Amino acid sequence: MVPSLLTAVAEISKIRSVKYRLSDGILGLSSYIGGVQTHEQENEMKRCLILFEHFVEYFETIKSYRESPTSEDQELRRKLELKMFQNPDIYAGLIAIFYDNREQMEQMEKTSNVLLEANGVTKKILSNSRPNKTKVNEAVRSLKILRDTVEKNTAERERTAEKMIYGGIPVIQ
Amino acid sequence: MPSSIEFEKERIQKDLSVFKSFLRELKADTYDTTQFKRLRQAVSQISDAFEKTISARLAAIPSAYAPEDVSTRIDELRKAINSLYNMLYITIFKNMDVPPELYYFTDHCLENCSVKANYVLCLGETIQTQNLEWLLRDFKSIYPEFWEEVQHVKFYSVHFIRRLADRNSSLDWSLLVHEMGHIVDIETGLIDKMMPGVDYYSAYQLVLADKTGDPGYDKSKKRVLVGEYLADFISTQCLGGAFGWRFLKEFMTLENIFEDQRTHPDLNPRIREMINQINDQLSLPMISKILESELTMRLKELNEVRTPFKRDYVELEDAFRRAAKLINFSATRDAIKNLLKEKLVGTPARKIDNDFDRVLMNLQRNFLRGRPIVVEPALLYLIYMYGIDNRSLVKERAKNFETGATELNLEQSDFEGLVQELIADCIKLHAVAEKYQRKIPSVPPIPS
Repeated sequence: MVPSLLTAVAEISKIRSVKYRLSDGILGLSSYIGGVQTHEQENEMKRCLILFEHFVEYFETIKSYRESPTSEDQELRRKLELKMFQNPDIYAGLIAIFYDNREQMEQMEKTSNVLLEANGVTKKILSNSRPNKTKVNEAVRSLKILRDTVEKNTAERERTAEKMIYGGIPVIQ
Repeated sequence: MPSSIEFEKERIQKDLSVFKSFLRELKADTYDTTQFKRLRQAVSQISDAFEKTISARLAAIPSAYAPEDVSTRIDELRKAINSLYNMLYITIFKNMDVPPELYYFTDHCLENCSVKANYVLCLGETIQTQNLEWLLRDFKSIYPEFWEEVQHVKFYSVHFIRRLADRNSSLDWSLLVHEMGHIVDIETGLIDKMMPGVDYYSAYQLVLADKTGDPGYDKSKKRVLVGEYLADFISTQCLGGAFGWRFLKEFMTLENIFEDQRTHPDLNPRIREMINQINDQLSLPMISKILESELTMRLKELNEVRTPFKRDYVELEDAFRRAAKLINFSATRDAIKNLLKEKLVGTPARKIDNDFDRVLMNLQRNFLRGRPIVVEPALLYLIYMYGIDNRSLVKERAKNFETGATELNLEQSDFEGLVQELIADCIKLHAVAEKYQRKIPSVPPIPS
């Protein structure tokens, strides 16, 4: 089957949507540590943290659904379905990146811990509490490792999809 | 803020300036056709949106503890901008060499469904429609100000294979009407209104992602497949069976460029829907029989057994009913008879009601001897197809082709190519006539 243009667009969107959300977490937390910001920058920092928070909820919903022994929990089904249609790129991205093979699935607990730790400090910042600075630094560090892994695992697929869209033309990089 | 970050922000501004140069290039181009203007307008809207919002976006990026964290975000932004630019830029090249007749044809199909044409045709390796919005939505989270400005930009690129760009392949242009059907679906929100909350792109993404049948998968699959059936319905209604016939004829070669099994219905129910439509709604049994025998052949080649027809989704009936209301000219037997009555005079006109087959066969004979007829494209295809696989007319049809080829001293295959060029000419003449008739009111009769 020749990979189609639409498949390539969908592929890029799903990979980037996961990477963007991890970057949101990193940028939001890192700028919190960074200190003084303008009003716009502070709003942007909060926006990034909210996007990251939603992403972690997304991740956890899929994980809970997959781990549910029967997957017949109606409430969980409804929640997952709602999230799928809210942002199909993220859903597809998470499935492709974290559920593509056994190795990734074995890493699931570790990935989940990294995200939950980071989400813990995110929630504190968003509720105007002061999280422990060391914990924020640790969360940023772990998220960066996770994003690098995602980057490494998806780089080839993203390049192939781009090639599908732009073909062999000289492109600006 | 470290100067390297400022430098990266400046670089983004520079990258965006290519949109302006691109626009200048587009405006200076002498290739000044309607479709080119459409693309220019879309690029212009995008360029304006960037200009209006980029300063605010760059100013909003917070300074971080580690500069590389800011740098990553800027890089993501650059990548998204460049992806969009590259896609629009390549569209220009892919848009060249498309014969204007093909645009007349596809424009006409959209107008026939009361939808404004806002697309370009692009040469490519697949037959597909891409909505610009599907690319623009990448900006939604990382550049919300831009997304806010462009989310309503309506533009499509319809990709098709090189072979179809030739005027002597005009029979296969009918395949593009299916793509126009997708544009009609998305532009009118026809299925979205029936299945709220499941837009085409989201459903497509979820169908591709499915591995385990998660909740929502069935709903997505239904949205995607109903969309395909609807596009088939629209093309059949507009062209009276030509789409189904060419689709089946080319199925084996198109399988890899048109069909993704995950996102398309199975061949048998798909063609059966078209056959039923041609029989029940268009009353053209001569044409439905052509599809019947082609389907039998294809299934045999695929080693598939023909199973009894069962409609895949009950929603199709409502979708088809809504779509039929959008179409101004449907290629029904009665509508075609009316067209012929407007065109023909004397004895042929009198025969239309009582000897429809004879009138069409005579038109075919004349057409194959080089006599153009300026009518709805549906009728051109009908004239060409008439008599295929019909016991009493098949010989006469073969004779018509043979006579035409002999008169021009051409091989049969070369002659068929020439006839398709004549169809392309007639499509062009019909478009010109339509435009002329619309612009200039009919002349009042001269008082006696």
